Amino acid sequence: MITKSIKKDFPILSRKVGKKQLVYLDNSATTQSPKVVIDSLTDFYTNHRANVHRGIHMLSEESTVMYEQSRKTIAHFFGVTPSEMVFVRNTTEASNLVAFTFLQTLKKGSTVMISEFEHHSNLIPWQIACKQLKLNFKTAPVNSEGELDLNFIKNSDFSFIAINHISNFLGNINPVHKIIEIAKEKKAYVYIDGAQAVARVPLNFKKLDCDFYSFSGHKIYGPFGIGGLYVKKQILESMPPFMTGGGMIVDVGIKKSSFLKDSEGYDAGTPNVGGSIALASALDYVTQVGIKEIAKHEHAVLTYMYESLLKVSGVEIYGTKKVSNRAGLVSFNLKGVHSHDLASILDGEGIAIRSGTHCVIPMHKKLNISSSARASLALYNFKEDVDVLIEGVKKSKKILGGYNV
Amino acid sequence: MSDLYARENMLDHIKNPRNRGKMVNADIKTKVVNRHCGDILSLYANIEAGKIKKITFDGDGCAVAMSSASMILEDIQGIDLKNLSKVTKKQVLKNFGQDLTPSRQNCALLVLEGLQQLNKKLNKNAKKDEE
Repeated sequence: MITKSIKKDFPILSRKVGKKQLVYLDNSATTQSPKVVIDSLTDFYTNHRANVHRGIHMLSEESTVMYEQSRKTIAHFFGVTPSEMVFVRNTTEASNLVAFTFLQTLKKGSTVMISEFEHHSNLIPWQIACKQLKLNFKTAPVNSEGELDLNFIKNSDFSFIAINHISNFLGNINPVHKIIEIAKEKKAYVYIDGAQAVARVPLNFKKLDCDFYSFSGHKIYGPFGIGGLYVKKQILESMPPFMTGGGMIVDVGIKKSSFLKDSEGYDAGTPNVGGSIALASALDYVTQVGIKEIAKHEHAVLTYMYESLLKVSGVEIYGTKKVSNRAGLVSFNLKGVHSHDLASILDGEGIAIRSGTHCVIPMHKKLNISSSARASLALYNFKEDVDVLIEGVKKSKKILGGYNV
Repeated sequence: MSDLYARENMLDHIKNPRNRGKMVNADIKTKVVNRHCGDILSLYANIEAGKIKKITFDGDGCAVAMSSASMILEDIQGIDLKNLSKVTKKQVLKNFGQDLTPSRQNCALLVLEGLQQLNKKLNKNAKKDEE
């Protein structure tokens, strides 16, 4: 069981915002790191820093071993082999990588499908790549709660589908297993954006049997600037390179060069060595706490947050009403109070939430709202944090409710 | 930031906005969007004898953006067109004292962007008239 003493693992949680104690509920934007992760970064830069692969000296040997070990740790955490775990800066880089390499291998006129609720990073790369490569671009419709029409997907013709596992705006857990099943029947490829899922759901990419799965390290208690993209071995072997240069080559000639056909083939240039090491340490921390425990704990707090917000009159919640199909976050609006004002007033109470469109403008347009407030959880949030949030929301209503529309 | 929402001046402009509403017979109008958050502000004006006879606003945005528009428009009713370009960032922000963080300054300054755009349109129209 996760107890409140876990907060002590996260130094930042003890800080104040003005005179108030920080209540951090912006975890879908970024999670905080435990001290062990920060220490691993410091240790690397203090004791082992050197460029990897090309050095014979001791520091370079050490940093190379640490870097390769980190890829192993990260790959094994998700049930795959290191040669299938490509390092990226973040989930956005992962979708761009796939859009501008793998999509080239599809036949002209093939269809790429996404959903209506995608984050801009899982929309724009496909939009642009489809235009350049003369592929069709199609969206799978959703209802007002953001639930996918699986029949539409079943009855559609497509060669590639990109979908998020958990919506960063609606908080819905999407039926990725069913989508993968449907896609397999069509011999279509599946790309899953797991930015919101990796820290919230136990995952084994191999068992899931998707073709691509991406995530950002900073959303799973790791540092900024490092993330992962799982690509199934057979696909990786036939994919063209993305960024090119040093580190990803087999041989180089003036007229022609050849490239590595595994995850290292996407390591052009000096990689984020410290970042990968710290991400591995974050995943070790998650393993130690237990991802199943985290999922269970977070869902209990989420259910409490959903129900508590629902009880505040004037609050409108987005996403599915089936709380068991939700994870990690609740997006909402308070009638008559703009989400920015709500976030500002809450900030005055020490509470950090996000406001705006959360990089999901199309779904906001579909719901006919200009913005929303989003409170999102991590393993260190408890019901008490939700109580502070609810008090803040009520205070905002008192100050602004009903006036500004 | 909590002090911001205790400012009586701002709350007064939220609860009783001045010059808010679409103007049907506007001589000139413009619309600006805050790309950081999607806030929308429209400005409408009647022009007469080189002056802004009346200027109104409407939109969908936060309290800072809307009250900022209400406050500054109250100050510029009836001014000479040539003075429209003289409205400054400082002048707009002074309505909020020291309480605005950089991201919220963008909200308050949306109306200034609108006024600058309106001014550009007016100058363009004036040039056309000369031709």
